Amino acid sequence: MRRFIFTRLWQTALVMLLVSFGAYVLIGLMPGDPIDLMITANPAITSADVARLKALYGLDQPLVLRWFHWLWSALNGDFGYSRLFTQPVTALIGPALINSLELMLASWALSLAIALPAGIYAALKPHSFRDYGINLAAFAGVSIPPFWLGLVAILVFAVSLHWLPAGGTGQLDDAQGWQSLRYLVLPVATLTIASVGSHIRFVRGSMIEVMRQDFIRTARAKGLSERGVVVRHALRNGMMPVVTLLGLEFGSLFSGALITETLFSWPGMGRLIYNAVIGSDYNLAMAGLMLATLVTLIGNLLADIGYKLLDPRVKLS
Amino acid sequence: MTRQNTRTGKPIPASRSASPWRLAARRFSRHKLAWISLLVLLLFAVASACAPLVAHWLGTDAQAVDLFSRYGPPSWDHPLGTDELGRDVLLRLLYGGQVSLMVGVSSALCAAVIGTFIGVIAGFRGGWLDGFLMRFTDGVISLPLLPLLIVLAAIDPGKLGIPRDVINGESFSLYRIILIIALFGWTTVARLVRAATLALREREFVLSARALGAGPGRIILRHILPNVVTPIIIATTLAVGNVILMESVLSFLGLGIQPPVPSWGNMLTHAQEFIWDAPLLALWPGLLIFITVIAVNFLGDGLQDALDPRANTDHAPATGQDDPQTAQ
Repeated sequence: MRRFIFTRLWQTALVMLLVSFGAYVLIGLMPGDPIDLMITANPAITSADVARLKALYGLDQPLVLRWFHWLWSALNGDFGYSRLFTQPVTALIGPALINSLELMLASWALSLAIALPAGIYAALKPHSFRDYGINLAAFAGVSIPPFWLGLVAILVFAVSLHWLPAGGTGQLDDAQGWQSLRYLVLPVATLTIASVGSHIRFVRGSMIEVMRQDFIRTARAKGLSERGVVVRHALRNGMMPVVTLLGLEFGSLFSGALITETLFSWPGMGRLIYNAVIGSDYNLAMAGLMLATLVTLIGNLLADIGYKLLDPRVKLS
Repeated sequence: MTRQNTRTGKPIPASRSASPWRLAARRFSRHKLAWISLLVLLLFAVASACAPLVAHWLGTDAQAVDLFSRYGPPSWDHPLGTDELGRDVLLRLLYGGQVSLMVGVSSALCAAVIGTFIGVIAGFRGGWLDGFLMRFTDGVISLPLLPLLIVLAAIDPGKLGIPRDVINGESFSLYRIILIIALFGWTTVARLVRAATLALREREFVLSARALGAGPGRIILRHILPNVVTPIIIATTLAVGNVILMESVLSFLGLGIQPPVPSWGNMLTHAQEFIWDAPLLALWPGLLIFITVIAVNFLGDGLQDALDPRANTDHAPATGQDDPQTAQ
């Protein structure tokens, strides 16, 4: 087990290294690099000035060297300055992380609170009327475009009914206590509807798979009540893939929800990354992308470890 | 035409000549939702293919701006009204349908080709190449999809040395989005094909083909690929829905299909500004995306039941459609 974690950590570091290089190259290809912006801002600039500026910022060096330089600074905790927000990148990421975490945890909990009972309930009688209905709802949830769902939610609950705010966190409106919770309702509902469909299908699939196993038949043959079969035997085994799912989604708790956050002006990681990319804020985009990758990879690792801890039959390679 | 017994000349009863494909068709026909979905998709395809005809009847085109009739109500000239620039909404929806369906199908096909290629090589060759390719696939799967797609969609192709007049061409953003989505979408097919190839490689008919002197190319083309085509079809169908969602998200964020070419996603880009003036405008494109994607998903589900009766659809599906990394 320890060896497995060790190997996987090495692999994660390797993937991070590769992704950081790839992202560095890609972000360098985005429009509007700093020197270009200076050229457009100042028509009197000469090509000698440009060359000098490039030398000053180290942009005349080969790509690999520049990446190495970025990597070295990043490993020392220096991600540079954000051009868009004129603040150090590290100062921007902290609050955004907390905002994302708040939003994602709420919708995660809500989605699971719906998906677990619904998925299990559907799985206990596959191909019945209730299974059909729950499945249909799950398909609808999987297929609905999340940004449109958010738009419709704003249209109905903010524009028409004036029940809830259309966006923001309420900090600007000085909302206190439970008043600030009202700002969470629409984004959390949107995120929940967008994710609950795949959660339901996952739980249902995993439960149906377990209910077919021999040990379930044995438990029934022993004369156990159906309730006992489900609670004592099926649930424990059926929830194992769900733990994997939780691990796989762990990363999104920190990397946020790009579309929903942008739509509802929720100042989390997803919106930060989107703004950085749209505004050609190289340093911020790079840091955001790296963080999103790191938390996703850690989530994958946690999923594997959790699976192994719960099911000793699983062999780790 | 009924088939005849070659010796007696009597027609063979239809029930006996049922080929696997006909059996699949029979199973599919029992799946009512899949049938309705297929019809809906065909209807959408035909309607959007007829867009130029509709434009002719209405006497306008999808990009004709008329600032005097912004947010117009439905009328004979504009059956679904006009948008924020006074363009005909129905026409833009139809042309947007062309874009969505085309991007969905071609990107899913590209991804299927890449995935099949990688999967077959990994499964057939095995050894270190298999290990390397599967590690690579795992790596791609574990990446945060949406942020990376956005960066890829935001890069300036001019910096890659692609000439400006190509980039500014109308359909450039179309090909670009197809390619970008395919670049991340091949992993499901690759895994499925690899697993199937690994199993097939040891089967007797492959062994006998090898014993008869067939080279690897022939074995792959004649013996492996025809046997993995079913999972590829199912996974690709389900992928079409995901691609359409992805395209609409990217276009909505202003990074996909570039205006003036309409797509269901970019028709909603400014929805938050006009939602006060013309709420219905924000309704149609999203509704069409929703109907199309859910129809594709039902179709995929029906195809899975029909083509793969032994594999139970009740399993936690391995076909990627229930990928936890949904676009949020």
